[in-house]
Amino acid sequence: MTARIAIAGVGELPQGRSEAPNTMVLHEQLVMHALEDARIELAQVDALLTVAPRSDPYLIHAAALAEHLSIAPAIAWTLEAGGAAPAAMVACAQGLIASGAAQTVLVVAADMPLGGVSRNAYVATLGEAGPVHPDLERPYGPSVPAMFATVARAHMDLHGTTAEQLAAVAIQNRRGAALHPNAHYRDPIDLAAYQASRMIADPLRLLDCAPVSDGGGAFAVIAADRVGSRGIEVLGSGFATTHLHLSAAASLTTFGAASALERALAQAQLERSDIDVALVYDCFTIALLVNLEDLGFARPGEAGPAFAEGRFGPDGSLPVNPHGGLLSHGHPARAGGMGQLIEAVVQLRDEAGERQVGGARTALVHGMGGVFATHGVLVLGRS
Amino acid sequence: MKHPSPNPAGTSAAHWRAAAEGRLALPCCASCQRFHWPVRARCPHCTGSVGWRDASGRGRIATFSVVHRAVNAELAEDAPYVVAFVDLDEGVRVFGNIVEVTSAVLCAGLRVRCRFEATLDGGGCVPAFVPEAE
Repeated sequence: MTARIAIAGVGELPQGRSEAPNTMVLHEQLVMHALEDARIELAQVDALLTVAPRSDPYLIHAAALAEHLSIAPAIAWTLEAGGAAPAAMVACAQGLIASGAAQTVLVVAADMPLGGVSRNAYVATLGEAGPVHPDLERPYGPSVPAMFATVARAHMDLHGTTAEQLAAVAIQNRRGAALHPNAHYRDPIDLAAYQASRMIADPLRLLDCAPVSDGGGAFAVIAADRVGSRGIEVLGSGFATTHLHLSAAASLTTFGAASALERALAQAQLERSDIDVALVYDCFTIALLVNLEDLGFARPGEAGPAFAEGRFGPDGSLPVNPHGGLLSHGHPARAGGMGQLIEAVVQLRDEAGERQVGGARTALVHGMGGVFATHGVLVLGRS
Repeated sequence: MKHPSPNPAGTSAAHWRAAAEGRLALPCCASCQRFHWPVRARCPHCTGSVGWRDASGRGRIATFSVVHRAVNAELAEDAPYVVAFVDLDEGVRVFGNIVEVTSAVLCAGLRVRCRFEATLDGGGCVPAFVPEAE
């Protein structure tokens, strides 16, 4: 059963160190922003979907949020899919609306690793309870950057990808973030700054890694025929899961994003060439290159040179992550990927100001959980 | 290197028991006889049932990273240390540390062999790889 659905409104606050006193209040603030943007009353929400934040201990986080908001939606569910969660929650909303279980679905994901946990504690738990295998990888001390670094090294050895090409990814993202008022890091960087940033897990430097940010976002989903002129329609969605731990991946240089995209495009009855702007998961510079290749926007090994030549820049043939990506707009822990979805909506509404991709009518949103493990793709378009 | 003790009751218990005896035991399919890693409920190649078999511990580095920022305080004094995927001669890829290696020789394709290192609490061993020539 399918239903035509649309994103009626979005809410975002500055990423970085949140001024909210705790994660629950940050969720509340994001909810109110999204509902105001969508012109929906809180009492209309009959389904609330969240991701469990790392910085809060609730058993069913969505039910705790509903309680905090003093609402009693029919559905209050918490979903886990890593950075693919925003796309997964859209698909869940579509199913709820199609079945008649809900009419107004509010999706919110936020986390406060800086304010709520502390940066070092968060990085340490990522190494133990993140995408690292607790039995078979953890005893050898890999950090999450180290897992992505093994992919970067393999990509360099196989394709000749260079550190300068990784730097081009970091620099372009920072240039985009400088134009986004909510971005975590907005100061410009150049190749010298990249090369001077400390080595975290060779070949990845600090500026190859997304920061640890407080933040997140919220959005409302309703049937497409109920949405106003600012609504953005979900034209297609697709998913793929190939493994959880990198040790179990079939390859160390190519992963499962392609089939997620193909399913989404088939549903939307569109081609890759119809995409005007792409929001692609970039928790590390190498992740963006590999994902762009797997999504078919560059041939294997060609994403690095293409990035360095500006093909994915604001004036290139396919602008990618004009908001600065996870790398500079911010990576709010469990809420990673909300920024990408919200930027797609803002771009399609023609409300991105200085970052606006001219004539953007169709956007791709790609989210990824684990080390290239699980992928979610949305194709969005103007209603 | 300081290794936290592996979980002796997890799905890989047979692997860790063997490691304590100096053997590199890996899951191997009873039907197609192919190794896989990490351990699964069913063989990922043919869905056959999974047994355990000792591997030679010899192979080549597939890819690696030199970790400069240790993942926790315990490992900080070991940094920089090397994590790697090793393609064993039996045709299976495993994850672990490369030890006693200089940056001059460390590269993908380097032949390595397995030996064993004690865990932090002294109650077990984990495999570690050294250059084969050592």
